[in-house]
Amino acid sequence: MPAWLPEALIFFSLVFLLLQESFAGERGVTPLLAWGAQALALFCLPFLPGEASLLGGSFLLHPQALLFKAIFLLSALVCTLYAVERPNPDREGRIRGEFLMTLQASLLGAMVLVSAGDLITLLIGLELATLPAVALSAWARRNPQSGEGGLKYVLLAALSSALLLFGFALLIGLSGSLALEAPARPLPLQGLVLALLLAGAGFKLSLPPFHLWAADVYQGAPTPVAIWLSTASKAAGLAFLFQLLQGPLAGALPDMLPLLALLAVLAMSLGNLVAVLQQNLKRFMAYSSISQAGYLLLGLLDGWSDAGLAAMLYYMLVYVIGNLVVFGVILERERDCGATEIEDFRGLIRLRPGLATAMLLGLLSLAGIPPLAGFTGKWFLFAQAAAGGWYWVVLLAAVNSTISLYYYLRIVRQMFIEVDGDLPVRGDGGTRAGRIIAAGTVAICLAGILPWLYEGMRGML
Amino acid sequence: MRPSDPFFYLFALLALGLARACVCSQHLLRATLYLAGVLFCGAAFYVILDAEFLAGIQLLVYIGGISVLLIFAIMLTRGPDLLKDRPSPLRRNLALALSLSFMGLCSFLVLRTDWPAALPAEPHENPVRDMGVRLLNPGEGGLLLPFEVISVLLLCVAIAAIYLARPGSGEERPLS
Amino acid sequence: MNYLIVFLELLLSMALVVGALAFSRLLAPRPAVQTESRPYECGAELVGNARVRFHAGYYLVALLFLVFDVEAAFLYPWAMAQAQVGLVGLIEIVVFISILLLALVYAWKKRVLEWL
Repeated sequence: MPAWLPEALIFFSLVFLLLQESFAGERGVTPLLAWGAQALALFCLPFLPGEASLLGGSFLLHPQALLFKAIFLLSALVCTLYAVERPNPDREGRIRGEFLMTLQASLLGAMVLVSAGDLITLLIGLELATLPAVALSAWARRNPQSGEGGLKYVLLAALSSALLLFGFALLIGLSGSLALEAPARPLPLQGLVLALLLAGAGFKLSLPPFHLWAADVYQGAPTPVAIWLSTASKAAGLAFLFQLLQGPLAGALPDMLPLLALLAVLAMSLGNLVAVLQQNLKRFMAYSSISQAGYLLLGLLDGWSDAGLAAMLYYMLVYVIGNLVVFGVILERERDCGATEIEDFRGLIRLRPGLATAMLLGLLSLAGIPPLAGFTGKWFLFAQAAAGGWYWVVLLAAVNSTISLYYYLRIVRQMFIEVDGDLPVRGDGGTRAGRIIAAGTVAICLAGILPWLYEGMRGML
Repeated sequence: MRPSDPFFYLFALLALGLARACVCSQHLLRATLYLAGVLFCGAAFYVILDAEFLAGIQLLVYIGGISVLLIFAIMLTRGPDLLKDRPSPLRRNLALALSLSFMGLCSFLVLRTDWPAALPAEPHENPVRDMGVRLLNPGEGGLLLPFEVISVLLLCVAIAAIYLARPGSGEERPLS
Repeated sequence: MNYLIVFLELLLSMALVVGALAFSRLLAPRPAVQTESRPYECGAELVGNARVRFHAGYYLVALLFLVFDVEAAFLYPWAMAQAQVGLVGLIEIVVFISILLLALVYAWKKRVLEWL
């Protein structure tokens, strides 16, 4: 199978969605065009060549890119299915082709980003992944919060793009090459270049101090978009960081370790401490995702190793599935009672036992409770940091995990313990979203017990 | 001193003054015009650096396109004098300190750095043509992929912007 | 310094505008009545401020203009390199333009271009 097949599928689905939206009029688009292409592309991934180089090295395919593409396609598929599922006639009407098309564009950008073989492709891929996501976050035009979130996102995205472009300009100008590889001799201004590039990656990963957009954007954005931002968009940030660390920053990693450790601890602690105070579940998930980004960085602390890479990719996958489950439940609740406050989840076990159980397992996995997948993932990450000798970081990460358990359990308490009195609206279950949530929950449970997933990833790299 | 140096300093001073005026103006429309002036100084820098193509793009896209878009966007709002909010002295001083320290850091780094020889080995005879060849070259060292991806990016941004900016009619409803 | 002429012309045009305004300020009589200082509108009363709210249609047209403006900027290097890139380059640029044309098709069908 040709190496460019998944990208081509997504691209043509984007074009056809746009044409259909233009010409079909009131009938609207066929959502199958969007999720069918994503599912097909996901299905193609195992049959692609393990190594390929197209267009003179602009487009590279390697196992790491394949794994990232699987994560992107999985979350895009679930986002699309959630978005088209059970449209509520009062608030949503038909699904718009522009929405699906913009999501496809963001997906395409992320896929180009992981396969980029030179700096320009990398940058354009990152922009294509980010800008449509910005537009998507402002998509609910009648919701002022969505507009506010979109505005904040676009301003900070522009700022981070500016810093990143400055960094790229210095890098290209000083090394005189577009190649995605370590410069032959140390560059002048290496520190500045490094700081600027790290700022760009930190923005995508929502690492403090570049996290300020996250809470408002997650809360204001339509929930399927919040899912996209918290899963694929974050994975794209990680992929971008990997591309930099394997490319222009390859030699600089040992010097960066203290900074990365500091960023990781900052992200974990800040995300956790602020998450405790939240009343809105989408805001809560924003801070939770900030702290999760902090755990992710632990995998880098032993320097660059295949084991660390596999641990980070594994955790990313586990985090993505956990988020897809939790956000799926949030989405269902939002459709039932129109709000996403933590209060709205009170007594969920009596109203919708299936949803409540899925939410419980998803949250516990995010908190890292054995034997769920989140625990295994954190275990590998902590092991990497310990292998690098960063015991104080591991200690703080463990403390933070304990704190996080407290606030994840706050929601569990609402769902399972406070079941007396007037309960919120029950609502009726959607079929497809329910199945996705169930599948994700099973995956969380199995991935934690079956060791071959991590071993398989490690073997691939 | 090269003959172009006085022009550089002239435009640099002009750009600084206009940038300050743009940031400090209480009037959005005037701020936009000052911004266009800053962008024009950018075009002048490109000319001084012998990058005429970039100067043309700066004039065509930034001054001709983006400034016009900004002016329309301002005209869409209720009034161009909405900028009544005066930042508190604390915020002003904080912003000033932050900008000055960033400037100081950058100047320090730039002055301290031992710059490599800036000139390429062989000067391009026709840089725009070489750029075109490179952009469209599908082989080694070519940039065909990013070039085509740019068109997808432009397309998607245009569609999303049209969707978001179009005055809402009855038939469309926002997603959740 | 090929651009010295351009610079001089810039100065000249600026001097012309500034000079004209300055001279009219110096030479024009100061009106005693306030109505006389208003812009001339055929003797009619002023309708209102010039800064009215625009229709959103203007913004959308400006947006489309910007997209095709950027496209034009990319077409120029191709035009210069035509002899070198040949048919392959032509196909590549046609792909580039066709993708962007979809934006025009969309705007057309969604009646963005219809005026009010």
